[in-house]
Amino acid sequence: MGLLLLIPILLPIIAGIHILKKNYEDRADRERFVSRAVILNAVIVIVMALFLRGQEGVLLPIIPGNPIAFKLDNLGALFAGMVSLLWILCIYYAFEYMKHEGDENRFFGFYVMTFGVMMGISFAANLVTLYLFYEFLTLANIPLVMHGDSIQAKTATRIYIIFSIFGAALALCGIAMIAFTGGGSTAFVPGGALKGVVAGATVIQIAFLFTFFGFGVKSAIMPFHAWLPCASVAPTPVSALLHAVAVVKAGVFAIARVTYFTIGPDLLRGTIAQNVALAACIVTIVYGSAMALMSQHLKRRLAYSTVSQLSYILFGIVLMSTDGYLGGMVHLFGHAIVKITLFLCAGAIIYKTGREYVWELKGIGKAMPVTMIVFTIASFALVGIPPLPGFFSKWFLTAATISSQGSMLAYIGLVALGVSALLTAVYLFSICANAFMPGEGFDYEAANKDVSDPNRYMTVPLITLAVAIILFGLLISPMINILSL
Amino acid sequence: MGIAIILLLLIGAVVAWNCKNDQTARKIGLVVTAINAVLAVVMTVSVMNSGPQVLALGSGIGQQIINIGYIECFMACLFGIVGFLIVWASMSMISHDVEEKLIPMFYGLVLALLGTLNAVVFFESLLGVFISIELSSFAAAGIVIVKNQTENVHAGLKYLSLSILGSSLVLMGMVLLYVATGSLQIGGIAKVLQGSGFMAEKSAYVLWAYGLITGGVAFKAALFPCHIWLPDAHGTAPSPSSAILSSLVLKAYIVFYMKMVFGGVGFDLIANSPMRILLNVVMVVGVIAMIAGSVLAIMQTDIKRMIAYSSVAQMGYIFMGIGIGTEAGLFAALFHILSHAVTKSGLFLVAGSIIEQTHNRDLNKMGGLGKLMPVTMALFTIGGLSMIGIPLFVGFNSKWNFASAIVGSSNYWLLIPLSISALLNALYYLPVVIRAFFGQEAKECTEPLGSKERPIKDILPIILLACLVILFGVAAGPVSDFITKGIQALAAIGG
Repeated sequence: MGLLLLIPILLPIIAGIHILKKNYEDRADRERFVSRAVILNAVIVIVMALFLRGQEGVLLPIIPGNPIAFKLDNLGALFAGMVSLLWILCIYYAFEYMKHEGDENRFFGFYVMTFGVMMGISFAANLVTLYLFYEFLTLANIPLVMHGDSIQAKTATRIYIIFSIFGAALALCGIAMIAFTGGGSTAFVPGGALKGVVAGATVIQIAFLFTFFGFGVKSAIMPFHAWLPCASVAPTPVSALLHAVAVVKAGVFAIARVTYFTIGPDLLRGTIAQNVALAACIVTIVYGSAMALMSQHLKRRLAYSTVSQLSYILFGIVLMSTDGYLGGMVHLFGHAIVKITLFLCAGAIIYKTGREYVWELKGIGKAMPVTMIVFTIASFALVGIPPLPGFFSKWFLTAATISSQGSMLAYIGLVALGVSALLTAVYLFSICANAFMPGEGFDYEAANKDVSDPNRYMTVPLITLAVAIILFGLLISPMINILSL
Repeated sequence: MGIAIILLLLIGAVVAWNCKNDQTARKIGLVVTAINAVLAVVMTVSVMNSGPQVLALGSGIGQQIINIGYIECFMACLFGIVGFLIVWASMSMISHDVEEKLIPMFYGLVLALLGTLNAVVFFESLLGVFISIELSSFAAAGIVIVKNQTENVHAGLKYLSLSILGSSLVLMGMVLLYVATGSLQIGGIAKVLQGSGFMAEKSAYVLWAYGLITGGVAFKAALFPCHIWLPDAHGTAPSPSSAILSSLVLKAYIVFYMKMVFGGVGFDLIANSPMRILLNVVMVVGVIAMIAGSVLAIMQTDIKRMIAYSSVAQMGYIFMGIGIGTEAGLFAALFHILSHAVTKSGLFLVAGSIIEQTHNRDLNKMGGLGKLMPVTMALFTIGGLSMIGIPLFVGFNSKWNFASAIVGSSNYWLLIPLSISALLNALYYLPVVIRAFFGQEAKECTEPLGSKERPIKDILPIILLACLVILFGVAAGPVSDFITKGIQALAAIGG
């Protein structure tokens, strides 16, 4: 039964290859195929997430003790379910958006393929399988990052390759250490497979740091964050779905797997390794927000914001307590829907007006009301106004810090969260304020002539996401129940 | 059976060389390598069933012992199967590089080379090994020179002279060992060296002897900085020759070195004697080679020179594994011999196909090639991904083995160069793939899809090599077990 999990992994990959081979001439044909494939796959994933939890299956014994194996546990099911729903919204958005980018067959081919790879990451039953899909994620993303073929796109691709491959190699070294000290296996066990197998050894700390910074490359931890702002040259559906949700959260997801399912927080609590990781998170939280404030390019600003927000999640994870883990995971899901919304709004603006800089958005709220209202809701959510998602994350993270009674660093982390929230408010609300209140005597007609909201392909996903953001609070307690280790 | 393989290949060589007709020579080459592959597999099965086969010829100091154990079978299969696939691929490619009248000579040299390589691995007697090494050097230089262009002759002579320098260093080391131990058989040497107190007393002798052998093997197997002949020789040779030279020839000398070090000195003494210093040097130089080879490869614009420098880097991996000096390190090195052989031979043959079809060697002009030669470039992609170490390809298992060996021996600092090296590999293989399939040129490419592709029957052997890359990537278990048995046998030589 466990090998049924291969279906949602392989189906999008085959569909993607089909799109690349078939090279659709007609846009409607391709859209029909893409939407059917993605919706079918999402339905399969959700059905499996509901009914097949706990199933596992072994596919290939590539390495002794570490076969390619799949398992559907609660964290994986939740992650896969969220990714699937967001994928559906994003393809409809992309149908409209990609009209002005061109070369859509290649784009949708790899966009759909990435869906399957993400399912592989969610369903992996051990670190080697996770690593396999992690590498494939890097590769499947290369054509998407360099889609525009501009000089910036080529530079961004180069930087992306350098960071991702080096990070994966570091992570692999860490995995090899974990496998060696843990007696060969790296299978996921809630609470840590190594718990009780090894006493707190230096090797484990080194292994944790290797995997933390190795997988951390994808989630843009300092000093490996530089690729993410560069990669914002990619088409908006890529920035939104992959560089705010799927790819970057794959990094976070992998770190959560290492910390809470392989090594186990007990072996790491209070060690130097934990402090190093905490320090990296704190620096990244503040640095990302500060850089976001200084960036005038809208997508770059959002990308730096992602850099900062991802470290909120990592901060929760490396608190090495169940509360910290839950706080991190709540933020993982909350940030996913909020940041994808912000990016899609930014994309709608770029699509309709071609404007990419913050100062060009004066008074745009009147011309594109739906887009900007959704943007404002998402901004409130990210800053953390109750009862929107950001509030819950911050609540849980604060509670976890205090209850974990960790080192000084954890409290410094709280200060960093506060500073970052302030910066977030400034860099997001300044956009909203400018858009709706450009000042006395602003000439709306001249500034935003012929600008209007995009068509329903874009607005329906935006409104859906806004509703999801508002209702997110209702999901918190079931989510916590499911995720508890 | 070992002697049968050697004789078959050598007789085949003489017959092929003396053919008047190039078509006949090709057929002889193909048939003889096919029989060789079958014999190697049969021999492996019989060794698995009934243990090592030992054949002793003569007696006294000149006694020649041919000892076929697990490692010998592993190498014989590698030489047999990969050699056969390369010779098969050469059927359609060789006339692009070699004049018709020289083709019989080419196949004669290839068969002679395979025969002598097998002999290097099979002989346990240092004298026999040395003679085989010398003969193989000439045959190896021959398959470079056979292209008969000025640059080939230069490259071949450079290769030959440095190769002979290498073998003379090896010879000096062997003589020193003989003086110290009074034996010319690896088994005999092992018994003396691993005897109680010998190493403590005569460590300087042994260290000098092994130092000279290491230096010699470094030249023969292109360990940086003794690699200077390799890019010229592998870069200019006919592509099937490059494939044989990089995937098989380099490896024979390395296996000889492994037998000398791990069979002769043994794992225990390596850990607790001055030999550790020598192996540390080998390890560090291997790491430098790993990085330097890749950096040099990134700087190349010629596809074959890039692949050749990549071999320099891969030899660095193997020497690093040897230098770690544990069973896991040796295992990683031996597995990498297999991994590199199947991957690199495929890459060279792909490069040959590209050059043959487009008359272009410049990497910067290969944009859009994925549209013109989709199958060929897909094969290149498989090879490149394996070299980077993506799972499902054999290169990943190699990388994993090295990482495990490093962790097991507590040399954690080696993990950093290992990671950097993976990145560097990506930096020269991925751009080629990306330019071929995705770049601006690929979009502007107007020629019909697949218009420059070679017929499938001609690239079938390359496809089979790519299948091996994937097969060993997903199911390395049996071959890993086999190598492990070989290492146990090696460790037991000294008794």
